Amino acid sequence: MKLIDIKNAKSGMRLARAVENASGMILYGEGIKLTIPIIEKFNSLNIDSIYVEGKSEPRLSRERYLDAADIAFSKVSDNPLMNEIKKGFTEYINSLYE
Amino acid sequence: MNKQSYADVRKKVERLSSLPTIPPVATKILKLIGSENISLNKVTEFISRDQALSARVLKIINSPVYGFPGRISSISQAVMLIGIGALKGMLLGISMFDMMHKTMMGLWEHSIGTAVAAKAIATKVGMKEIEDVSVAGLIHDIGKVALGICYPELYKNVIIAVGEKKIYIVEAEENIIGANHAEAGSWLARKWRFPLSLVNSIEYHHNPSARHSSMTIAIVHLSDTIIKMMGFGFSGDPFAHRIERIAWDTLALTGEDLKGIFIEIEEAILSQETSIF
Ligand SMILES: [Fe+2]
Ligand SMILES: [Fe+2]
Repeated sequence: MKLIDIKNAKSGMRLARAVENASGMILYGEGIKLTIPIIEKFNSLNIDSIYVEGKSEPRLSRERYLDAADIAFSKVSDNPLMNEIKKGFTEYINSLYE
Repeated sequence: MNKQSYADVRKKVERLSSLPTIPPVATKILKLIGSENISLNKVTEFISRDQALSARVLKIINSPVYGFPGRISSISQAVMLIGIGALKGMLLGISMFDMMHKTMMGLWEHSIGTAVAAKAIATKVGMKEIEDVSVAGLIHDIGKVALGICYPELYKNVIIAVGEKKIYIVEAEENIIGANHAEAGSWLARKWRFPLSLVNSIEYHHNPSARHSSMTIAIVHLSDTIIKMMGFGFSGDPFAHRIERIAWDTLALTGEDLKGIFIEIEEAILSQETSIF
């Protein structure tokens, strides 16, 4: 499942989560295949983003993610809790590139 | 220029909305936020009268920063759903974006990112007032904008000192200006009669244990660090503060929870490359 900007919605994509209106009523259910009229309808309803099926490309390269984490944590690298959080993050990043 | 006294800094920051460098829309917003007996009707009317502002409010409220992705189409609906406190905070966030110097653009991303992270964590721990927590994340560093506007030259030196001496921005602000951004932000939030939880989460986002750690403070504290770790935005401060044990224990997150939070945040950021940043 990935969350996409409505600008990137294309016909043929499948909704991975239902789209509801403000009162919580389901407008389009999970699994619905998008068509141009449906996408236009989303636009007219001010819907900015939707969940569709598929996996998104990571935002950064693995090295850049891990570098960012190293720099951010460079002053706290002797702290067990911080190391635990960073370890969890490293595992998550690695799983993006499996 | 010499370092100011703490009282001078406070006085200047509290008079920020009357500075000539503040854009007109931001001045109008700040005046509204600070007015006494502000009513939902008044805010709705104010936002609705300004088309550009209306569009921005709807954009943010329909984004993953808030709990209502893609469901709000009118300002009155928006105002009813998120409530006056969160709305004031969001308007401040928007005016903050207007006030920000171009060199501080990364701070807006950092702020949006922290709001997104705060929402993900608040949802995970089952909090009810998610919008209030998002907004607390959005404006936690408002004091940086305030200090940057009041002391543009000194603030440049602050950023330089952080880079050269590898110190925390809080330290550099105290050394060079005489007060830090958490203090400056809380002065504004108090002056503008923000809800106490918002004031506290601005004031204690680096050191929650100085206050009996509330859920909202703990969430903002952790979000600020997570978003830095994830390499999103730039807050002028590359170094994460140590997460305080008491805040961490308040949240009681498991390793699995944390992973779910990372996933939520990445998805939200990826979906928003163009629309709100
Ligand atoms: Fe901060
Ligand atoms: Fe921050």
